[in-house]
Amino acid sequence: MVLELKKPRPMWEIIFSTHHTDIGLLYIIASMTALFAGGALAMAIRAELFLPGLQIFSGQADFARFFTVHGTTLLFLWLIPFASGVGNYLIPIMVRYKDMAWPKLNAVAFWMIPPCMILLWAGFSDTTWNAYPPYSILKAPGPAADMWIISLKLLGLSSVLGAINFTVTILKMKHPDLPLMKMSLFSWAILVTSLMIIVAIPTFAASLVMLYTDRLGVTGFFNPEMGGDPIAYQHLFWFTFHPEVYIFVLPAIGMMYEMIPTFSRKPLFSYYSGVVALVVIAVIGFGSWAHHMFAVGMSFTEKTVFMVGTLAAVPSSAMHVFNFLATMWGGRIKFAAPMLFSVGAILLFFSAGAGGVVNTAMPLDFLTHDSYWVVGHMHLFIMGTITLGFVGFIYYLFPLITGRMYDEKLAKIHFVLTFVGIALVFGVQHILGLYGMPRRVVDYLPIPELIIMNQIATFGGWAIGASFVLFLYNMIKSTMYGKPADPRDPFKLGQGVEYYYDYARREPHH
Amino acid sequence: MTTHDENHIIRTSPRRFAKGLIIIIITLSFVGYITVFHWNDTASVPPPVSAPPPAPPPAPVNAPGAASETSSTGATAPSTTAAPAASGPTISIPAGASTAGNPSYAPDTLTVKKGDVITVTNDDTAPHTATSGTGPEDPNSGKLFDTSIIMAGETAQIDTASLEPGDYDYHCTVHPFMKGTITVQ
Repeated sequence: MVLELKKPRPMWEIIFSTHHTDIGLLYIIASMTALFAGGALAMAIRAELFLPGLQIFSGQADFARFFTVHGTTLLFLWLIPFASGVGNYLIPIMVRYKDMAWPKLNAVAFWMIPPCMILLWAGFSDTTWNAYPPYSILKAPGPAADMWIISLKLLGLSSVLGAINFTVTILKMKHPDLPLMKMSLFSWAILVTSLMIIVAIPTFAASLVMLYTDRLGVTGFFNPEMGGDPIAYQHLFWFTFHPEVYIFVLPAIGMMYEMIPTFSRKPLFSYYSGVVALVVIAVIGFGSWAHHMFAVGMSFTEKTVFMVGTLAAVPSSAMHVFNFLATMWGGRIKFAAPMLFSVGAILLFFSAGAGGVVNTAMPLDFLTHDSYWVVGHMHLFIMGTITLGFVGFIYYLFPLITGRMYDEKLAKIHFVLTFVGIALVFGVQHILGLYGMPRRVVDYLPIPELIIMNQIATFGGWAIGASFVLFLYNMIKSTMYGKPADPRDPFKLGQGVEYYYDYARREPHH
Repeated sequence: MTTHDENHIIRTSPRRFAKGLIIIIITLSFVGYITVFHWNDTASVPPPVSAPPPAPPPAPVNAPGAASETSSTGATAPSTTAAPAASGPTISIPAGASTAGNPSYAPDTLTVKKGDVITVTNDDTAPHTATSGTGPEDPNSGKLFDTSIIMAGETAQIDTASLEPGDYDYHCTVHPFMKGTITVQ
């Protein structure tokens, strides 16, 4: 909670505030709650897969409900709200405006999220986070699946409202003395992300409505019994959710652009290439959605087009990686927790990208399709790159938000455990996939190779879980009793490092 | 130049942070209560589109009674239950007809006398039609007779009084692969 001890405001005033720092903080707290809740489900999933057979779940149905809510929570209630939260906190400061363009709209966008959380968690749908028909319309039991649909519908609306607000704030409310090409790269990342959200999300929002009326039996867009086409849903879905991959990752990259030059005590290697890479990937990201559907029976031409479209996204991702590395090269790097997380994220971004190139090659995709390889690849990207970047940024912002310092030793243990855990669980999942273990199953054949690899993965998962418990403890304890931080230089990087934000501007002043 | 304010700006006190945590925990325990104690309730209702069609109200209730009544007053029972279905030829659309390859109409060739009223019963879960013509591309599709959409569990009638003797193809406009023939004598 942001609180001024000199003139403390009552709690309700913070909760129902329209000031961007308050809303940003509410976003961050809500998304971190989702992170821990969704992570707890992952622990249960890994515990179940420790041994073949059924241990803690009564069957596939309960297991499906767990991984559906795990996926939905972490994608839509952790990644997107966290990026919006940090954006809210920093964008008005970075573009030097007093608040977001529409503060009330901003508050509305945030307050859609808690009801969505409640709907999602009270229902516990079993549709998987893709909700592919025909299962989701013909068989998925209600009201859980209906609650899931409504919840995602509201979340989509919330992120579109947020995105409109960010776009207008950055493009129209920017200080006249601040040209677009002098804006921080984090602002660029949020701008590009917001534009992508505005273009991508409506497709999924429309298909959710179709899904819902199909469930009611009113329409038959995706219902094969009524002449509909389930594959059409997959196209609509991935037209939103392939760009969504970049919507998830670009804020993390923007955050790394903030942290890496700071802790390398060096200016950014190339600002221009960073901007170009962000903009280029936003355009190319829309041209590769069907690579998620190579196995649905598209023609060779279509598959080739989408394979090339996917490979076209590689150079701009590589530009970011090289930009990070060149910035670090020769710098006097201080490996405080935010920098450790950034470096880990670069490393795992590279590994996940290498796996992505394998996936996009059609013939190899048929081997890895619907196996644990896909699970490993997606998690390596989402956990290894995005979440590491985000968590690093939480540590980075911690002194700014609370005025106190986190426990650096605990943070370093957190990093080591998380990094090792990620390498274990998601690296091994790639190999599990190559051994043919299908994804989304509660049970597997008791083959020694599968058992041992699943057990390694489970230990990795538990290491991540333990490290995040440490993280939670660190956050709570340091917010309450942490050492007061020096607002100018909380990380003790020395003179001449211009890396922190204007303190006075975060006061709610209207 | 650090002003006095900027020297140490502490934004939090343990008490107020704990208050915030309590708000979060109360919300979480509310949701957790629903999740845990209504775990089976929230995933118990099949989606409306594939919920089993409601049985025709009088039939299942009266059937046992009717069966017992047949021993005493044999004439009343058939008149109440089988009146709409039994008089004249019938065509049934069996369950699963909406999947190409499954039987579409039973029987798919039917011979009737001119003037008979054919009853078409949809026993499938999806809506169907019985429409004259060889398929949706037939320019005369639906010109001679058309039941229009028959929802799951419902029935419709085809009156053959206006048809000349001969063979008539018909199909389902929703599922063009469902085809049948009526021969009028």
